[in-house]
Amino acid sequence: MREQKVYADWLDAGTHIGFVILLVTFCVYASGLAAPQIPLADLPKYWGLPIDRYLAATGAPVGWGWVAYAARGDYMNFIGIAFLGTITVACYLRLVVVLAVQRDWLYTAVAVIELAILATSASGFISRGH
Amino acid sequence: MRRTRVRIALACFGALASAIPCMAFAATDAAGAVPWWIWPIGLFAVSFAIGVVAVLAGVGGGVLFVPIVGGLFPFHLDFVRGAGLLLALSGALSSGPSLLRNGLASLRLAMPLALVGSTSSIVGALVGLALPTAVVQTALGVTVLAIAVLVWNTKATDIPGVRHSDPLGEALRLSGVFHDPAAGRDVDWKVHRTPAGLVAFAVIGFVGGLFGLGAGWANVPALNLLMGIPLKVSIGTSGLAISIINTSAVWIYINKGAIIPLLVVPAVVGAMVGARIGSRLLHVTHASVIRRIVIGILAAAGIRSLLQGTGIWN
Repeated sequence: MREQKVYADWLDAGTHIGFVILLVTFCVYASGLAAPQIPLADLPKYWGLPIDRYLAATGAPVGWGWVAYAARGDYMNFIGIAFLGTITVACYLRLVVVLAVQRDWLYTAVAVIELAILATSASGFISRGH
Repeated sequence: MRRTRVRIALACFGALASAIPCMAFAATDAAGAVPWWIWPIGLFAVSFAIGVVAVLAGVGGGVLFVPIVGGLFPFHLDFVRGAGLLLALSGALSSGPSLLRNGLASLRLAMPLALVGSTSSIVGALVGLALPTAVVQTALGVTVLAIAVLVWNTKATDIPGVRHSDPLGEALRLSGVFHDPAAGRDVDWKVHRTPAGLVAFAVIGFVGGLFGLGAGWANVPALNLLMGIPLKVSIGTSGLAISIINTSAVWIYINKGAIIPLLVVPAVVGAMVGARIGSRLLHVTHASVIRRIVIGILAAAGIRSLLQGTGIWN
């Protein structure tokens, strides 16, 4: 099936790129090449706190707020993490096109609804509340 | 060569076994006197061992990671669950392409199930981050103990041989053919009890999002025993479904700020390296022995989580 092959190709490429980004940004972070927002030695004071108290104590951003700190060593890692979180979205975007070309409207609809759910989750809209 | 591989396998078990009491001791130190860099290294070692064991036992890494790391490391459960979801997601993403190309995963089968699962996993993640930690920890302990019982009792069927598909399964065209190299033949498959399968994936997605667990422990029995899909296709499709379902739940944790890179990256990399080693050791280890070890680990981690949640042993 064509859609399965296309999905596999996109998933393969995306996963490889994602892991490279994840490793490179972590090396930059751990080596100290880019200064972190929260010093590494201070992290043990915070990582045992529940999320609400952690955010209050560190002033860590929520939602897509990390983008503003992406030059910082720790938040640079979110580029790779967010990339891993968008691979499926990219695969589904491509899948919608393939299925629509095949005029498989039932599965096109399933893919579009899934995309809407993933996009809503990624947007941060339903995570607000802190 | 064989002896070397067995030694490697034993070393992995040894690493996990020795790391656990060390971490338990260090956790009681309240992260005070222990240098910060010990933790990511310890997390890498434990995640590596989990990666090896998970592949050998045929369970996802997330189901071992969250109760073990949540119970024995000083990190708050909110961050452990976020890391657990990313660990399960990474494994599912990396195994997806070959499973799809070999026909061991069915995209059409995964799509409707993942649609239901990803919706409920978002709800699970939101509920999990809103509930008090003690409640989540206690519920995690009960759930992990239930998973241990499920793994113990599950008797998978290689090829269930469904004769008639149900109307919904037919409407969704949930059928296919895969080539079984072990049997040397093509196997036709179709599904039954599709509505029940969708309900099962809704429940599994909710639990996965709530606790940050991968869902292979439940997906495979649901696909194989409930919907009548051949075991190999069930395992492959489960991985693909996890990559979709966990993506939606992971974003809730990212957007809530429940991700600490110093926890996530060593865990993800350790588990992935371990999974590669584990896949090479598959043919020199006894699956039944490893399965029993995993059930033992799950039971111990579940009891620890239960005791922690109820405040008996913090």
